[in-house]
Amino acid sequence: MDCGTCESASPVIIQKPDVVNVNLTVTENAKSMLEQAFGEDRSMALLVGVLSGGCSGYMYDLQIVDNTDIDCQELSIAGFRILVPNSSSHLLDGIEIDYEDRLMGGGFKINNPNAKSSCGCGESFA
Amino acid sequence: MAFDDANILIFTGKDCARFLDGLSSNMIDFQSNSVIDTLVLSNRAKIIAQLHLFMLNDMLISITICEDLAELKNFLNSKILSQDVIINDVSELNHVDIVYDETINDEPVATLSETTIVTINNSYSFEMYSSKLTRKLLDGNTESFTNWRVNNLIPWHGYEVSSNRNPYQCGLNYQVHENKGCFTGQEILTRMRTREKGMYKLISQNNDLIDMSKASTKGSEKSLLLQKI
Repeated sequence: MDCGTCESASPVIIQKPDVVNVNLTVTENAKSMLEQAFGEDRSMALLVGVLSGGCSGYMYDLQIVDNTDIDCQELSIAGFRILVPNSSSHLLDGIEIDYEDRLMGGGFKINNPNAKSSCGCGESFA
Repeated sequence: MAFDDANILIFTGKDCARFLDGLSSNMIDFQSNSVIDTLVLSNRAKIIAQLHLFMLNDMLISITICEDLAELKNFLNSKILSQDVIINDVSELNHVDIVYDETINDEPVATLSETTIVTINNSYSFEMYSSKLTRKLLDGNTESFTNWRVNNLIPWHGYEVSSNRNPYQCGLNYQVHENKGCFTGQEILTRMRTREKGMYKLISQNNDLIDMSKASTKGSEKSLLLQKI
């Protein structure tokens, strides 16, 4: 394999999906959990992203961040900063962020109208 | 034997190992000088592509075998999202030959006189070299390759392996890591494995003992069959 040759190859062209202005809702349960997580500090943000993988092909990625290098749109919901990467906006428009208080399998849940299917644990979708 | 349906993709970017780990069936955890055989699967666990992954000069390289490279590229591209992953297709810039039935290199990945030799499963090798170089003349032929596959129980694309089957239906069980956690198609495979339903094993039998219409690969004396477990 001639690596000099390979380096001259151009990257596979990526057809990027259109960026969508995301609308999302946060349930009362989720808001009270965010209150506990953020406290009085509203400078931090909840990053709601999507990664490849999981049983169904895409999996949710929730992080509390100060800021991010990812190109995001910022929403303000009930005083909370919520960041959604533009690259996943087509997958996250219309979602509802919920919180389920259960001993097993509890935590933040995303109800996503764009998901055709999701895996048993609810962390990934297609 | 010249092998002309393998493609070479190069993955770069800091997220590429994690990206491939999430989308494929085997653990992507590179030890020094190792080759990882893994499968990209659909949500229904059907095989989209076989990847033989290795590191060379800080690049993650995949010898890729699939029915439709354009479909694979679209599938991978749709999953990149905000991850730092760049895919280069260098298939047309390199020849890929398969070498079987010869002494196998001890090193999984070795470079000898402008040729990179990638050894799969201590069983056969891919030789990759620039398409600027003259294609090597190898003395294999389809019949000897087929007989070698039958004798060594090697499933192959277009015969046992297809996009209509999952890894447990075509003898590629060893490319599924049972404990790695979530990857695309994993839920279906785990259910099959734990319930022991729908699984097939690859067997080799003498031609005079089998119904040849059921053989997935027909050899001169023996053939390969997928048999329900």
